[in-house]
Amino acid sequence: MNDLEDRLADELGAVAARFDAPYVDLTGLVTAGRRERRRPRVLAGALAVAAAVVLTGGVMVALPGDGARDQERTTDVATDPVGLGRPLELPWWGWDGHSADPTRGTLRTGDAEVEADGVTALAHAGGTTLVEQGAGTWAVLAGDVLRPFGMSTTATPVIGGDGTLAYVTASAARTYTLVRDDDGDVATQSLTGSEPPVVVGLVDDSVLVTIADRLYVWARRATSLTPVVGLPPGVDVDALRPWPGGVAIFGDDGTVVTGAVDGTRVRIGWSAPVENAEGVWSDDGRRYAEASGGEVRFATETGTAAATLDEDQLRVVGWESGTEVVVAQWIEVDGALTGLWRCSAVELRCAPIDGAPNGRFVLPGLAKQE
Amino acid sequence: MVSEQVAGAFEEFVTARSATLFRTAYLLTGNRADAEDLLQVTLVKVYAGWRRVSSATSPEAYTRRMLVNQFVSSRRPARFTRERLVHTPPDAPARDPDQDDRLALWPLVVALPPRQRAVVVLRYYEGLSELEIPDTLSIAPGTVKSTASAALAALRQHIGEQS
Repeated sequence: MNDLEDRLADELGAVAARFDAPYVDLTGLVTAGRRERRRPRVLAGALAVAAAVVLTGGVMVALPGDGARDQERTTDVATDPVGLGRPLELPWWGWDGHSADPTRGTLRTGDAEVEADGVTALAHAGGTTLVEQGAGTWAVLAGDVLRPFGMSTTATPVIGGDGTLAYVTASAARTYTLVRDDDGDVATQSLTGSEPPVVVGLVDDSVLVTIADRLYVWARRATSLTPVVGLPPGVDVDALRPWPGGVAIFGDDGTVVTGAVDGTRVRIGWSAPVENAEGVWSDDGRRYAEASGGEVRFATETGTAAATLDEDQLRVVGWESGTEVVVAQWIEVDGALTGLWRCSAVELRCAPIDGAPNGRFVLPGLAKQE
Repeated sequence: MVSEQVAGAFEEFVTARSATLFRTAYLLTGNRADAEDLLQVTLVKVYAGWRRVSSATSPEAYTRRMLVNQFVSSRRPARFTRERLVHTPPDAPARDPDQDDRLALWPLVVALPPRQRAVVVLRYYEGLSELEIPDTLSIAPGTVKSTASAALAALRQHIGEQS
Protein backbone atom coordinates (compact mmCIF):
# COMPACT_ATOMS: atom_id res chain seq x y z
CA MET A 1 0.00 0.00 0.00
CA ASN A 2 1.16 3.53 -0.61
CA ASP A 3 1.09 6.37 1.88
CA LEU A 4 -2.47 7.42 1.14
CA GLU A 5 -3.74 3.88 1.53
CA ASP A 6 -1.83 3.48 4.80
CA ARG A 7 -3.34 6.71 6.11
CA LEU A 8 -6.79 5.58 5.05
CA ALA A 9 -6.46 2.32 6.92
CA ASP A 10 -5.16 4.13 10.00
CA GLU A 11 -7.86 6.80 10.03
CA LEU A 12 -10.76 4.46 9.36
CA GLY A 13 -9.51 2.23 12.13
CA ALA A 14 -9.19 5.20 14.47
CA VAL A 15 -12.70 6.42 13.70
CA ALA A 16 -14.23 2.99 14.15
CA ALA A 17 -12.38 2.34 17.40
CA ARG A 18 -14.24 5.19 19.06
CA PHE A 19 -17.52 3.35 19.04
CA ASP A 20 -18.73 0.67 21.36
CA ALA A 21 -21.75 -1.43 20.63
CA PRO A 22 -24.93 0.64 20.39
CA TYR A 23 -27.83 -0.21 22.60
CA VAL A 24 -30.07 -2.56 20.67
CA ASP A 25 -33.54 -3.57 21.76
CA LEU A 26 -33.33 -7.28 21.02
CA THR A 27 -36.98 -7.93 21.75
CA GLY A 28 -37.99 -5.18 19.37
CA LEU A 29 -35.66 -6.53 16.70
CA VAL A 30 -37.15 -10.00 16.95
CA THR A 31 -40.67 -8.63 16.78
CA ALA A 32 -39.78 -6.50 13.76
CA GLY A 33 -38.02 -9.43 12.14
CA ARG A 34 -41.10 -11.61 12.52
CA ARG A 35 -43.23 -8.91 10.99
CA GLU A 36 -40.75 -8.55 8.14
CA ARG A 37 -40.90 -12.29 7.50
CA ARG A 38 -44.68 -12.21 7.29
CA ARG A 39 -44.74 -9.22 4.95
CA PRO A 40 -46.80 -9.96 1.82
CA ARG A 41 -44.70 -9.54 -1.28
CA VAL A 42 -46.96 -7.20 -3.18
CA LEU A 43 -46.14 -3.84 -4.61
CA ALA A 44 -46.91 -1.64 -1.64
CA GLY A 45 -45.51 -4.06 0.86
CA ALA A 46 -42.50 -5.09 -1.14
CA LEU A 47 -40.48 -2.07 -0.26
CA ALA A 48 -38.35 -4.15 1.99
CA VAL A 49 -35.47 -1.80 1.42
CA ALA A 50 -37.33 0.86 3.30
CA ALA A 51 -38.98 -1.48 5.74
CA ALA A 52 -38.04 -0.84 9.28
CA VAL A 53 -39.25 -0.24 12.73
CA VAL A 54 -38.51 2.74 14.86
CA LEU A 55 -37.53 2.06 18.40
CA THR A 56 -38.03 5.23 20.32
CA GLY A 57 -37.79 4.78 24.02
CA GLY A 58 -38.82 1.21 23.51
CA VAL A 59 -42.00 2.13 21.65
CA MET A 60 -42.25 0.65 18.18
CA VAL A 61 -43.60 2.87 15.43
CA ALA A 62 -44.25 1.70 11.90
CA LEU A 63 -42.36 3.44 9.14
CA PRO A 64 -43.23 3.71 5.45
CA GLY A 65 -42.87 0.24 4.05
CA ASP A 66 -44.79 -1.38 6.85
CA GLY A 67 -47.93 -3.01 5.51
CA ALA A 68 -50.38 -1.36 7.87
CA ARG A 69 -48.92 2.06 7.28
CA ASP A 70 -48.99 1.60 3.52
CA GLN A 71 -52.70 0.98 3.60
CA GLU A 72 -53.15 4.29 5.35
CA ARG A 73 -51.07 6.22 2.86
CA THR A 74 -53.80 6.60 0.34
CA THR A 75 -53.74 9.41 -2.14
CA ASP A 76 -54.99 12.73 -0.90
CA VAL A 77 -57.94 13.38 -3.16
CA ALA A 78 -58.03 17.04 -2.27
CA THR A 79 -54.56 17.64 -3.63
CA ASP A 80 -54.48 14.84 -6.18
CA PRO A 81 -57.76 15.01 -8.09
CA VAL A 82 -56.62 12.79 -10.94
CA GLY A 83 -55.04 10.14 -8.72
CA LEU A 84 -51.48 10.72 -9.86
CA GLY A 85 -50.18 9.18 -6.64
CA ARG A 86 -51.60 5.73 -7.27
CA PRO A 87 -49.18 2.77 -7.24
CA LEU A 88 -46.84 2.21 -10.14
CA GLU A 89 -48.32 0.39 -13.12
CA LEU A 90 -45.21 0.11 -15.25
CA PRO A 91 -43.11 -3.03 -14.75
CA TRP A 92 -40.19 -2.87 -12.39
CA TRP A 93 -37.66 -5.23 -10.94
CA GLY A 94 -36.15 -5.12 -7.50
CA TRP A 95 -33.89 -6.93 -5.13
CA ASP A 96 -35.97 -9.19 -2.90
CA GLY A 97 -34.67 -7.32 0.12
CA HIS A 98 -33.87 -10.48 2.00
CA SER A 99 -31.05 -12.12 0.15
CA ALA A 100 -27.50 -10.95 0.69
CA ASP A 101 -27.15 -11.21 -3.06
CA PRO A 102 -28.74 -8.06 -4.53
CA THR A 103 -28.97 -9.65 -7.96
CA ARG A 104 -31.77 -11.90 -6.72
CA GLY A 105 -35.12 -10.29 -7.14
CA THR A 106 -38.60 -10.19 -8.50
CA LEU A 107 -40.12 -8.64 -11.60
CA ARG A 108 -43.46 -7.02 -10.98
CA THR A 109 -45.84 -5.99 -13.69
CA GLY A 110 -49.50 -5.41 -13.06
CA ASP A 111 -50.60 -8.24 -10.81
CA ALA A 112 -47.87 -10.61 -11.94
CA GLU A 113 -44.74 -11.36 -9.95
CA VAL A 114 -41.96 -13.31 -11.59
CA GLU A 115 -38.80 -14.44 -9.88
CA ALA A 116 -35.99 -13.17 -12.11
CA ASP A 117 -32.38 -12.92 -11.04
CA GLY A 118 -29.72 -10.65 -12.41
CA VAL A 119 -32.04 -8.29 -14.27
CA THR A 120 -30.01 -5.46 -15.79
CA ALA A 121 -32.59 -3.63 -17.89
CA LEU A 122 -36.25 -3.54 -18.85
CA ALA A 123 -38.03 -2.32 -21.94
CA HIS A 124 -41.75 -1.76 -22.07
CA ALA A 125 -44.16 -0.43 -24.68
CA GLY A 126 -47.67 -1.15 -25.81
CA GLY A 127 -48.22 -3.70 -23.05
CA THR A 128 -45.15 -5.75 -23.95
CA THR A 129 -42.34 -6.14 -21.41
CA LEU A 130 -38.79 -7.22 -22.21
CA VAL A 131 -36.26 -8.25 -19.58
CA GLU A 132 -32.48 -8.17 -19.95
CA GLN A 133 -30.51 -10.58 -17.76
CA GLY A 134 -26.93 -9.79 -18.64
CA ALA A 135 -25.66 -7.70 -21.51
CA GLY A 136 -27.73 -8.32 -24.63
CA THR A 137 -29.52 -11.36 -23.16
CA TRP A 138 -33.20 -10.53 -23.46
CA ALA A 139 -36.41 -12.39 -22.79
CA VAL A 140 -40.02 -11.42 -23.39
CA LEU A 141 -42.49 -11.69 -20.53
CA ALA A 142 -45.35 -13.92 -21.61
CA GLY A 143 -47.89 -14.06 -18.77
CA ASP A 144 -45.71 -14.97 -15.81
CA VAL A 145 -43.09 -16.76 -17.88
CA LEU A 146 -39.91 -15.32 -19.37
CA ARG A 147 -39.36 -16.53 -22.92
CA PRO A 148 -35.68 -16.00 -23.82
CA PHE A 149 -34.75 -14.80 -27.28
CA GLY A 150 -32.08 -17.50 -27.38
CA MET A 151 -29.47 -15.15 -28.78
CA SER A 152 -27.78 -11.94 -27.68
CA THR A 153 -28.79 -8.68 -29.26
CA THR A 154 -26.52 -5.85 -30.31
CA ALA A 155 -28.83 -3.22 -28.81
CA THR A 156 -32.09 -2.90 -26.90
CA PRO A 157 -34.87 -4.47 -28.97
CA VAL A 158 -37.56 -2.20 -30.38
CA ILE A 159 -41.17 -2.90 -29.46
CA GLY A 160 -43.90 -2.07 -31.96
CA GLY A 161 -47.34 -0.80 -31.07
CA ASP A 162 -48.84 -4.26 -31.57
CA GLY A 163 -46.17 -6.01 -29.51
CA THR A 164 -44.04 -7.06 -32.46
CA LEU A 165 -40.34 -7.07 -31.66
CA ALA A 166 -37.37 -6.18 -33.85
CA TYR A 167 -33.74 -6.59 -32.99
CA VAL A 168 -30.32 -7.41 -34.38
CA THR A 169 -28.00 -10.24 -33.40
CA ALA A 170 -24.38 -10.78 -34.38
CA SER A 171 -24.07 -14.21 -35.90
CA ALA A 172 -20.43 -14.02 -37.04
CA ALA A 173 -17.78 -11.45 -37.83
CA ARG A 174 -19.37 -8.76 -39.99
CA THR A 175 -22.50 -10.89 -40.23
CA TYR A 176 -25.72 -9.86 -38.52
CA THR A 177 -29.24 -11.15 -38.36
CA LEU A 178 -32.21 -8.81 -38.34
CA VAL A 179 -35.05 -10.45 -36.45
CA ARG A 180 -38.77 -9.68 -36.41
CA ASP A 181 -40.70 -11.57 -33.75
CA ASP A 182 -44.47 -11.32 -33.97
CA ASP A 183 -45.59 -13.25 -30.89
CA GLY A 184 -43.32 -16.16 -31.71
CA ASP A 185 -43.74 -15.92 -35.48
CA VAL A 186 -40.09 -15.17 -36.22
CA ALA A 187 -38.68 -13.91 -39.51
CA THR A 188 -35.01 -13.19 -40.10
CA GLN A 189 -32.87 -11.35 -42.60
CA SER A 190 -29.11 -11.84 -42.86
CA LEU A 191 -26.97 -8.76 -43.38
CA THR A 192 -23.27 -8.08 -43.63
CA GLY A 193 -21.29 -4.97 -42.84
CA SER A 194 -18.58 -3.51 -40.67
CA GLU A 195 -21.10 -2.12 -38.18
CA PRO A 196 -24.30 -3.73 -36.90
CA PRO A 197 -27.56 -2.45 -38.37
CA VAL A 198 -29.66 -0.37 -35.97
CA VAL A 199 -33.41 -0.82 -35.69
CA VAL A 200 -35.00 2.63 -35.57
CA GLY A 201 -38.65 1.79 -35.91
CA LEU A 202 -41.45 -0.70 -36.36
CA VAL A 203 -44.43 0.41 -38.43
CA ASP A 204 -47.24 -2.04 -38.97
CA ASP A 205 -45.48 -5.02 -40.48
CA SER A 206 -42.32 -3.20 -41.49
CA VAL A 207 -39.00 -2.86 -39.68
CA LEU A 208 -37.05 0.37 -40.16
CA VAL A 209 -33.32 -0.06 -39.94
CA THR A 210 -30.26 2.06 -40.57
CA ILE A 211 -27.22 0.55 -42.22
CA ALA A 212 -24.17 2.73 -42.65
CA ASP A 213 -25.69 6.10 -43.52
CA ARG A 214 -28.99 5.01 -45.03
CA LEU A 215 -32.48 4.18 -43.80
CA TYR A 216 -34.08 0.99 -45.08
CA VAL A 217 -37.41 -0.73 -44.63
CA TRP A 218 -37.87 -4.46 -44.31
CA ALA A 219 -41.47 -5.22 -45.18
CA ARG A 220 -43.19 -8.40 -44.05
CA ARG A 221 -42.58 -11.26 -46.46
CA ALA A 222 -39.96 -9.22 -48.29
CA THR A 223 -36.73 -11.06 -48.95
CA SER A 224 -34.62 -7.93 -49.02
CA LEU A 225 -34.45 -4.42 -47.62
CA THR A 226 -35.58 -1.38 -49.56
CA PRO A 227 -34.08 2.11 -49.18
CA VAL A 228 -36.46 4.67 -47.71
CA VAL A 229 -36.73 8.01 -49.47
CA GLY A 230 -38.01 11.37 -48.33
CA LEU A 231 -35.71 12.16 -45.44
CA PRO A 232 -34.64 15.81 -45.43
CA PRO A 233 -31.25 16.36 -47.09
CA GLY A 234 -28.29 16.03 -44.80
CA VAL A 235 -30.09 14.12 -42.05
CA ASP A 236 -27.70 12.07 -39.96
CA VAL A 237 -29.24 8.61 -39.60
CA ASP A 238 -27.66 8.40 -36.14
CA ALA A 239 -30.19 11.03 -35.15
CA LEU A 240 -33.14 8.76 -35.98
CA ARG A 241 -35.11 7.18 -33.16
CA PRO A 242 -38.27 5.08 -33.10
CA TRP A 243 -41.52 7.00 -33.23
CA PRO A 244 -44.93 5.36 -33.39
CA GLY A 245 -45.81 5.55 -37.07
CA GLY A 246 -42.27 6.01 -38.33
CA VAL A 247 -39.13 7.69 -37.11
CA ALA A 248 -38.28 10.77 -35.06
CA ILE A 249 -35.51 12.95 -36.40
CA PHE A 250 -33.55 14.76 -33.69
CA GLY A 251 -31.64 17.73 -35.03
CA ASP A 252 -28.59 19.57 -33.77
CA ASP A 253 -30.76 22.69 -33.58
CA GLY A 254 -32.73 21.34 -30.60
CA THR A 255 -35.79 20.17 -32.46
CA VAL A 256 -37.45 16.88 -33.17
CA VAL A 257 -39.31 16.22 -36.39
CA THR A 258 -41.74 13.36 -36.83
CA GLY A 259 -41.49 11.29 -39.99
CA ALA A 260 -44.38 8.99 -40.83
CA VAL A 261 -43.22 6.07 -42.95
CA ASP A 262 -45.60 4.95 -45.65
CA GLY A 263 -44.20 2.08 -47.65
CA THR A 264 -40.77 3.23 -48.64
CA ARG A 265 -41.33 6.94 -48.19
CA VAL A 266 -40.98 9.27 -45.21
CA ARG A 267 -43.59 11.99 -44.88
CA ILE A 268 -42.31 14.78 -42.67
CA GLY A 269 -44.78 15.82 -40.00
CA TRP A 270 -44.76 18.23 -37.09
CA SER A 271 -41.74 19.46 -35.19
CA ALA A 272 -41.14 20.72 -31.67
CA PRO A 273 -38.27 22.09 -29.60
CA VAL A 274 -36.71 19.46 -27.32
CA GLU A 275 -33.68 19.14 -25.05
CA ASN A 276 -32.40 15.80 -26.28
CA ALA A 277 -33.36 12.35 -27.51
CA GLU A 278 -33.60 10.75 -24.07
CA GLY A 279 -37.32 11.40 -23.67
CA VAL A 280 -40.13 8.94 -24.32
CA TRP A 281 -42.95 9.02 -26.87
CA SER A 282 -46.49 8.19 -25.88
CA ASP A 283 -47.82 5.03 -27.50
CA ASP A 284 -49.87 7.07 -29.96
CA GLY A 285 -46.88 9.23 -30.87
CA ARG A 286 -48.74 12.43 -30.10
CA ARG A 287 -46.64 13.49 -27.12
CA TYR A 288 -42.93 13.49 -26.35
CA ALA A 289 -41.99 13.74 -22.68
CA GLU A 290 -38.60 14.68 -21.30
CA ALA A 291 -37.40 15.85 -17.91
CA SER A 292 -34.60 18.14 -16.85
CA GLY A 293 -33.99 21.46 -15.17
CA GLY A 294 -36.73 21.01 -12.61
CA GLU A 295 -39.54 20.40 -15.05
CA VAL A 296 -41.19 17.74 -17.16
CA ARG A 297 -41.89 18.98 -20.66
CA PHE A 298 -44.48 17.66 -23.07
CA ALA A 299 -43.98 18.39 -26.74
CA THR A 300 -46.95 18.02 -29.07
CA GLU A 301 -47.97 19.08 -32.53
CA THR A 302 -49.59 22.19 -31.10
CA GLY A 303 -46.79 23.30 -28.80
CA THR A 304 -44.84 22.54 -25.67
CA ALA A 305 -46.02 22.66 -22.08
CA ALA A 306 -44.28 21.84 -18.82
CA ALA A 307 -45.07 20.59 -15.34
CA THR A 308 -42.81 21.80 -12.54
CA LEU A 309 -40.90 19.11 -10.66
CA ASP A 310 -38.26 20.77 -8.55
CA GLU A 311 -35.78 17.92 -8.49
CA ASP A 312 -32.55 17.13 -10.28
CA GLN A 313 -31.31 14.11 -12.21
CA LEU A 314 -34.76 13.37 -13.60
CA ARG A 315 -35.46 10.81 -16.28
CA VAL A 316 -38.71 9.89 -17.99
CA VAL A 317 -39.39 6.19 -17.47
CA GLY A 318 -42.46 5.70 -19.64
CA TRP A 319 -46.08 6.47 -20.32
CA GLU A 320 -48.85 4.73 -18.42
CA SER A 321 -51.59 6.22 -20.56
CA GLY A 322 -51.85 8.71 -23.36
CA THR A 323 -51.69 11.56 -20.85
CA GLU A 324 -49.65 10.31 -17.87
CA VAL A 325 -45.95 9.73 -17.66
CA VAL A 326 -43.73 8.26 -14.94
CA VAL A 327 -40.62 10.25 -14.05
CA ALA A 328 -37.72 8.98 -11.95
CA GLN A 329 -34.92 10.61 -10.06
CA TRP A 330 -32.10 8.38 -11.11
CA ILE A 331 -28.58 8.58 -9.71
CA GLU A 332 -26.88 7.01 -12.68
CA VAL A 333 -23.42 6.71 -11.16
CA ASP A 334 -24.85 4.61 -8.33
CA GLY A 335 -27.59 2.93 -10.32
CA ALA A 336 -29.95 4.13 -7.62
CA LEU A 337 -33.56 5.17 -7.89
CA THR A 338 -34.27 7.93 -5.37
CA GLY A 339 -37.66 9.24 -6.35
CA LEU A 340 -40.61 8.42 -8.57
CA TRP A 341 -43.46 10.65 -9.72
CA ARG A 342 -46.40 10.46 -12.08
CA CYS A 343 -47.02 13.58 -14.15
CA SER A 344 -50.08 14.57 -16.12
CA ALA A 345 -49.60 16.11 -19.55
CA VAL A 346 -53.10 17.55 -19.22
CA GLU A 347 -53.04 18.81 -15.64
CA LEU A 348 -49.38 19.80 -15.99
CA ARG A 349 -48.48 18.67 -12.52
CA CYS A 350 -46.75 15.77 -10.83
CA ALA A 351 -47.31 13.76 -7.67
CA PRO A 352 -45.10 11.23 -5.85
CA ILE A 353 -46.11 7.67 -6.61
CA ASP A 354 -47.48 5.91 -3.59
CA GLY A 355 -45.32 3.06 -2.35
CA ALA A 356 -42.72 3.73 -5.00
CA PRO A 357 -39.64 1.54 -5.03
CA ASN A 358 -36.34 3.12 -4.21
CA GLY A 359 -32.79 1.91 -4.14
CA ARG A 360 -31.32 -0.64 -6.46
CA PHE A 361 -34.24 -1.15 -8.76
CA VAL A 362 -34.59 -1.48 -12.51
CA LEU A 363 -37.30 0.30 -14.43
CA PRO A 364 -37.78 0.62 -18.18
CA GLY A 365 -35.03 2.77 -19.60
CA LEU A 366 -33.13 2.93 -16.33
CA ALA A 367 -30.44 0.31 -16.68
CA LYS A 368 -28.58 -0.87 -13.66
CA GLN A 369 -25.00 0.32 -13.92
CA GLU A 370 -22.31 -2.29 -13.39
CA MET B 1 -40.14 -23.84 20.36
CA VAL B 2 -38.34 -23.47 17.03
CA SER B 3 -39.15 -19.78 17.04
CA GLU B 4 -37.62 -19.42 20.49
CA GLN B 5 -34.49 -21.23 19.39
CA VAL B 6 -34.17 -18.93 16.40
CA ALA B 7 -34.68 -15.88 18.57
CA GLY B 8 -32.09 -17.11 21.04
CA ALA B 9 -29.48 -17.76 18.38
CA PHE B 10 -30.23 -14.44 16.74
CA GLU B 11 -29.92 -12.54 20.00
CA GLU B 12 -26.64 -14.25 20.72
CA PHE B 13 -25.39 -13.24 17.30
CA VAL B 14 -26.48 -9.63 17.69
CA THR B 15 -24.94 -9.35 21.13
CA ALA B 16 -21.64 -10.67 19.87
CA ARG B 17 -21.46 -8.84 16.57
CA SER B 18 -23.40 -5.60 16.80
CA ALA B 19 -20.38 -3.53 17.82
CA THR B 20 -18.35 -4.66 14.82
CA LEU B 21 -21.26 -4.20 12.45
CA PHE B 22 -22.07 -0.80 13.88
CA ARG B 23 -18.52 0.42 13.27
CA THR B 24 -18.79 -0.61 9.64
CA ALA B 25 -22.19 1.05 9.40
CA TYR B 26 -20.73 4.23 10.84
CA LEU B 27 -17.89 4.30 8.36
CA LEU B 28 -20.36 3.80 5.52
CA THR B 29 -22.90 6.39 6.56
CA GLY B 30 -20.62 8.94 8.20
CA ASN B 31 -22.89 9.74 11.11
CA ARG B 32 -24.23 7.96 14.11
CA ALA B 33 -27.93 8.36 13.43
CA ASP B 34 -27.76 6.93 9.93
CA ALA B 35 -25.46 4.16 11.13
CA GLU B 36 -28.04 3.16 13.72
CA ASP B 37 -30.70 3.25 11.01
CA LEU B 38 -28.64 1.08 8.74
CA LEU B 39 -27.76 -1.45 11.41
CA GLN B 40 -31.31 -1.81 12.62
CA VAL B 41 -32.78 -2.27 9.15
CA THR B 42 -30.13 -4.85 8.40
CA LEU B 43 -30.64 -6.76 11.62
CA VAL B 44 -34.38 -6.89 11.06
CA LYS B 45 -33.67 -8.53 7.71
CA VAL B 46 -31.12 -10.82 9.28
CA TYR B 47 -33.76 -12.11 11.67
CA ALA B 48 -36.27 -12.49 8.83
CA GLY B 49 -33.74 -14.57 6.91
CA TRP B 50 -32.02 -16.16 9.88
CA ARG B 51 -32.07 -19.68 8.51
CA ARG B 52 -30.09 -18.53 5.48
CA VAL B 53 -27.79 -16.28 7.49
CA SER B 54 -27.00 -18.86 10.14
CA SER B 55 -26.20 -21.51 7.57
CA ALA B 56 -23.66 -19.27 5.86
CA THR B 57 -19.98 -20.08 6.26
CA SER B 58 -19.60 -16.83 8.15
CA PRO B 59 -22.86 -15.32 9.38
CA GLU B 60 -20.99 -12.13 10.23
CA ALA B 61 -19.60 -11.80 6.71
CA TYR B 62 -23.03 -12.57 5.29
CA THR B 63 -24.58 -9.90 7.49
CA ARG B 64 -21.89 -7.40 6.58
CA ARG B 65 -22.67 -8.05 2.94
CA MET B 66 -26.34 -7.38 3.61
CA LEU B 67 -25.43 -4.22 5.47
CA VAL B 68 -23.20 -2.85 2.72
CA ASN B 69 -25.73 -3.63 0.01
CA GLN B 70 -28.48 -2.13 2.13
CA PHE B 71 -26.41 1.03 2.32
CA VAL B 72 -25.62 1.19 -1.39
CA SER B 73 -29.14 0.23 -2.43
CA SER B 74 -31.26 2.36 -0.19
CA ARG B 75 -29.37 5.61 -0.23
CA ARG B 76 -31.73 8.49 -0.68
CA PRO B 77 -31.30 12.23 -0.64
CA ALA B 78 -31.36 13.86 2.74
CA ARG B 79 -34.94 14.99 2.38
CA PHE B 80 -36.01 11.34 2.34
CA THR B 81 -33.95 10.34 5.34
CA ARG B 82 -35.86 8.15 7.73
CA GLU B 83 -36.06 8.54 11.43
CA ARG B 84 -33.55 6.93 13.72
CA LEU B 85 -34.08 3.23 14.13
CA VAL B 86 -31.87 2.33 17.05
CA HIS B 87 -32.17 4.03 20.34
CA THR B 88 -29.00 5.07 22.09
CA PRO B 89 -29.36 5.53 25.82
CA PRO B 90 -28.70 9.15 26.76
CA ASP B 91 -26.12 8.09 29.32
CA ALA B 92 -23.88 6.68 26.63
CA PRO B 93 -23.27 9.55 24.24
CA ALA B 94 -20.64 9.34 21.56
CA ARG B 95 -19.89 12.36 19.48
CA ASP B 96 -19.23 12.04 15.80
CA PRO B 97 -15.49 12.31 15.27
CA ASP B 98 -15.75 14.49 12.18
CA GLN B 99 -14.46 17.49 14.07
CA ASP B 100 -11.22 15.82 15.10
CA ASP B 101 -8.39 17.79 13.56
CA ARG B 102 -6.18 14.74 13.47
CA LEU B 103 -8.49 13.07 10.99
CA ALA B 104 -7.67 14.76 7.71
CA LEU B 105 -8.96 12.03 5.41
CA TRP B 106 -12.13 11.01 7.21
CA PRO B 107 -14.22 14.05 6.17
CA LEU B 108 -13.11 13.45 2.60
CA VAL B 109 -14.12 9.80 2.78
CA VAL B 110 -17.57 10.81 4.04
CA ALA B 111 -17.94 13.08 1.02
CA LEU B 112 -17.33 10.28 -1.47
CA PRO B 113 -20.28 8.83 -3.41
CA PRO B 114 -21.80 5.79 -1.65
CA ARG B 115 -20.35 3.10 -3.84
CA GLN B 116 -16.87 4.61 -3.67
CA ARG B 117 -17.19 4.91 0.08
CA ALA B 118 -18.31 1.29 0.34
CA VAL B 119 -15.31 0.11 -1.65
CA VAL B 120 -12.95 2.22 0.48
CA VAL B 121 -14.39 0.89 3.73
CA LEU B 122 -14.32 -2.71 2.57
CA ARG B 123 -10.78 -2.41 1.29
CA TYR B 124 -9.08 -0.27 3.93
CA TYR B 125 -11.11 -0.94 7.04
CA GLU B 126 -12.42 -4.45 6.56
CA GLY B 127 -9.26 -5.44 4.72
CA LEU B 128 -11.09 -7.32 1.99
CA SER B 129 -9.12 -8.25 -1.07
CA GLU B 130 -9.86 -7.12 -4.61
CA LEU B 131 -11.34 -10.54 -5.18
CA GLU B 132 -13.63 -10.40 -2.15
CA ILE B 133 -15.08 -6.94 -2.69
CA PRO B 134 -16.77 -7.74 -6.03
CA ASP B 135 -18.45 -10.70 -4.37
CA THR B 136 -19.61 -8.57 -1.46
CA LEU B 137 -21.04 -5.82 -3.64
CA SER B 138 -22.15 -8.12 -6.46
CA ILE B 139 -20.43 -6.00 -9.05
CA ALA B 140 -17.77 -6.80 -11.59
CA PRO B 141 -14.10 -6.85 -10.49
CA GLY B 142 -13.38 -4.19 -13.09
CA THR B 143 -16.04 -1.96 -11.59
CA VAL B 144 -14.48 -2.35 -8.16
CA LYS B 145 -11.08 -1.40 -9.53
CA SER B 146 -12.37 1.64 -11.35
CA THR B 147 -14.45 2.68 -8.34
CA ALA B 148 -11.48 2.35 -5.98
CA SER B 149 -9.28 4.21 -8.41
CA ALA B 150 -11.81 7.04 -8.68
CA ALA B 151 -12.11 7.23 -4.90
CA LEU B 152 -8.37 7.45 -4.37
CA ALA B 153 -8.03 10.01 -7.13
CA ALA B 154 -10.73 12.14 -5.52
CA LEU B 155 -9.04 11.91 -2.15
CA ARG B 156 -5.68 12.85 -3.63
CA GLN B 157 -7.22 15.81 -5.40
CA HIS B 158 -8.87 17.10 -2.24
CA ILE B 159 -5.69 16.61 -0.24
CA GLY B 160 -3.83 18.61 -2.87
CA GLU B 161 -6.41 21.39 -2.69
CA GLN B 162 -6.14 21.54 1.08
CA SER B 163 -2.35 21.66 1.22
